[in-house]
Amino acid sequence: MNEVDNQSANIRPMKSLSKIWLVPFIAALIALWMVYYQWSSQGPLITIEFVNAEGMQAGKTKIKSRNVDIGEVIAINLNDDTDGVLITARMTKEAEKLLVDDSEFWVVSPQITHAGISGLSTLISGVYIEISPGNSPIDKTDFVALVDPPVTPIGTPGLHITLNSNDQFAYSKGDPIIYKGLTVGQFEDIFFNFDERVVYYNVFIKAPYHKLLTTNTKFWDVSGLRIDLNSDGISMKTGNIETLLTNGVTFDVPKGMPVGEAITQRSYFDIYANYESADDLRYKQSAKFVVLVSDTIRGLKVGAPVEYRGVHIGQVESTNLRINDAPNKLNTEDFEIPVLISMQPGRVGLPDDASGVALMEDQNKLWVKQGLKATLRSGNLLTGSLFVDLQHFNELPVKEIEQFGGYAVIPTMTNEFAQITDKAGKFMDNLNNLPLDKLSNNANNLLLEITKTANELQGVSQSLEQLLVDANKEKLSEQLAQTLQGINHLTKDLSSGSTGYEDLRKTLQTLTETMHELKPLLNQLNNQPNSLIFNSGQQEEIEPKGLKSIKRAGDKP
Amino acid sequence: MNGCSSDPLTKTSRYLLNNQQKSFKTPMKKSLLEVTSPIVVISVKELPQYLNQPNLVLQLASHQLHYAHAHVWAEPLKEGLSKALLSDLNANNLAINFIGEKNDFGIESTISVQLEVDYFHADQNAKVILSGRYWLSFSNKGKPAIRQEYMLQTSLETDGYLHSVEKMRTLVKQLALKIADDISVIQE
Repeated sequence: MNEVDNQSANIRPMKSLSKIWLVPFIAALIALWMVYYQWSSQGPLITIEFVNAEGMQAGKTKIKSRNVDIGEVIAINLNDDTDGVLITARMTKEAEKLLVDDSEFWVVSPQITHAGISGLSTLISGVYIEISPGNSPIDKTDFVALVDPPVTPIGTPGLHITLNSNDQFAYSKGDPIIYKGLTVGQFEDIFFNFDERVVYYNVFIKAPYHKLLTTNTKFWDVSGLRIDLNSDGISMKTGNIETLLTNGVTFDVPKGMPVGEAITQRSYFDIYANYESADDLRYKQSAKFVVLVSDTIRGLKVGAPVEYRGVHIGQVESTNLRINDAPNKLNTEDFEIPVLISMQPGRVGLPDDASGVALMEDQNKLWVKQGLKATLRSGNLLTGSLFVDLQHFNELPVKEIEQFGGYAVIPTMTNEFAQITDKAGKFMDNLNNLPLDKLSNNANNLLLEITKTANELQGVSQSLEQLLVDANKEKLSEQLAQTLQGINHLTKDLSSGSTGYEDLRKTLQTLTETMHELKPLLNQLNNQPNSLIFNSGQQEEIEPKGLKSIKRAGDKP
Repeated sequence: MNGCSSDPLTKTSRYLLNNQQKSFKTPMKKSLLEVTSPIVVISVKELPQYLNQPNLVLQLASHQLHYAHAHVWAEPLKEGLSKALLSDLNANNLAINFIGEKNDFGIESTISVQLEVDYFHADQNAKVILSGRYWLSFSNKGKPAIRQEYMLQTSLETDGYLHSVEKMRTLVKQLALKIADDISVIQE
């Protein structure tokens, strides 16, 4: 037992940790590495606010830039006010730099507009969110998406400008800006200024056409097909094929106007109804006169040309000028309609400033005293549109120039039609004044006398005719009878069975018989011309042979 | 003298196709004005060129003819043929009045006979031939016209033109019989 007790155990230290534990440890390390890798490689989490989440699905809808996946929607929730949708999306690491303050998001879905069809691929793949990266240096993770795709992506070279119009044009987003038929830009968005009651259009002109924009550039409407039927006739204009279907605006610097300075930042321009309106506004100064019209002014419109010997020198400003100091009383005579016209000195080469206006006013006043008159003329017979024509009538000078409403008055002449009707009226008056009654009475008497004379003449001629008939009848009938008798004798002489006829017939018969007898002789002479003179030996006549002769000839050896 | 003297003039014989004695029988028949009898108008068309001349013709060979110098027709052969034919037809057919086309009495014909002659001459083989065709047509347009070809010939027993003329006359008689037969056939 003691030996047993004295035996001491050989105690060996045991290993506290088994090697098997290395496996889970390594696995844990790998997992940690994977978590880190995942964490370190994933991009930021962003939120985008949309009006609605139509077509989007969490975990499925992608965020793309230039058709490259750069993120994915991971959650779709209503916002706090429940008036929109808050999309939470995980972006890739590479997309981090795209998430700046002015970056824009919008949903790409199938769209059919006048500009074309887009987003057809989303019919199969489902909608996706497109990002237009901004240029801002400020990072951002919370965005508000655009309702519609932007017309011009951010960063597109060109120039943004603003057009305005208080006319009734109706441009919409995407409508083209035309320059000499080329589409060089488009309408981006529209807003209405309630205070000014003016519609403003933000427009983008893409490079390099934005260099065409200068301080003197004018914009005017070229929507659809424009047919002008004015005093110059009929004209049709359009911007290009696109503007035939949609609205559009074109721009240019009016002819003869300096180009002006180039525009480098957002500027404001007016949209005019047409080129003529835009062009007219190049002349800032004008001399104004009043024309008092006693004819009708139907067909005379504001803007109608004022021409001096065919040169366009101004336009009609108002067709029925209202003046404040009009006398508050009844007119004893007819009212002459005051038409305000303006004449731009710039149109005739005079300086477009106060000095040019003064010179033009003085010149016109001088001419008015020497007989310058205004006439309303018809520019187009089809439409009846009128224009004001200034002409010199040297035989009708004016001593003193009238004033109306503070404007010098240019005297008027009645228009062509009125002149014609006036002359026609005078002619009719003269015609009425003719003593037609007396003339007709005299003419009646004359006709009666002529009729009487004619009757007498007819009686005389009848008597004369009877006389001649009586005188000729006997002689003529006698001659006629003799002639007929002669013809009768002649016919009898020549008729069948008559002596003359028989003689003629006998003569012909004798002649025929003679010829008949002569024929053998002629035949003989034809065969033998000398037979009448020389004895050539009479040939025996060949005669028909009878059967007997033939038989006899056959019997001979 | 002998050289300059002219030949003695050859004696010319003249012939009539129709036999005058037989033609005198025609007045014995009925008057032509009896319009109840059928009227047949015989018209002989223009003769061939070789017969349309006074000399009698003799055929020497197949394609050779000879005009007799001293034997001539006393009247145009066409007239002689027409007279002989009418004479025979009227003599043999008392119930029908045959008239020539020149005999215009203003009477409408019932039947008209158009006679065309191709050959009518003697030859050196002792034969005389008469050939051609004739048309029978009715004044009544409802009936069709009839065309008949004829080829008649006879032999010459003796020599000479006189005998050949007599034989030619017999051929005309045969033709008259043939025409009369055809008329009687189409009248039935």
